[in-house]
Amino acid sequence: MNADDPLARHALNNLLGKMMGAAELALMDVEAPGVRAELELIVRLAKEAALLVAASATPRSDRPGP
Amino acid sequence: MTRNILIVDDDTDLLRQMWTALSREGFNAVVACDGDAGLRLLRSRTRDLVVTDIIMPNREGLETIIQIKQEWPDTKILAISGGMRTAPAEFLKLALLLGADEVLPKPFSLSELSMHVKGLLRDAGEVAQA
Repeated sequence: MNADDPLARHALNNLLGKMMGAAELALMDVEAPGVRAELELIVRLAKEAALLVAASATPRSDRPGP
Repeated sequence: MTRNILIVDDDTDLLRQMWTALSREGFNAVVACDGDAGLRLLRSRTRDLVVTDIIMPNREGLETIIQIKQEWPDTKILAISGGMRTAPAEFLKLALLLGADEVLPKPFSLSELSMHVKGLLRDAGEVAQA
């Protein structure tokens, strides 16, 4: 996949949004602390991945180095 | 009082997730998979708020927003988009120009969605009471 491709970024964003949503909905029904921690991790990682996808839309010259 | 919400998106997984989250928050939510179906639902019963995607088959979101603001100017609109060939921000800027009250770029968390929906309905309630 080419992260510079807007269609690929769009597809990735859609997947990340639904992963986040699935974990959030599961969190509404789960009380076990261990499972909740893993679901919360999924939400956090999906948010971090979304930030990486957004950064890949930034022109290379504007991206933080190296 | 239960607030009525219409959610329009052609992504059925996301549609189900948004419906589940907003229904669990106590909203009376209905769903449509494109702008045409959404407008048909609005004509059968007006809604306090519409959450609409931008890029959809049949009637896409920007056209849907224009139509909603013409026929139901008091209905609040939250536009959501992940963009396509352009950045989502470009579509969402257009959505604001055309009458959307707020925008939310994809991907978003369901808690963010809920926060935006509650904020818009709170503002609408304050205006109605003024």
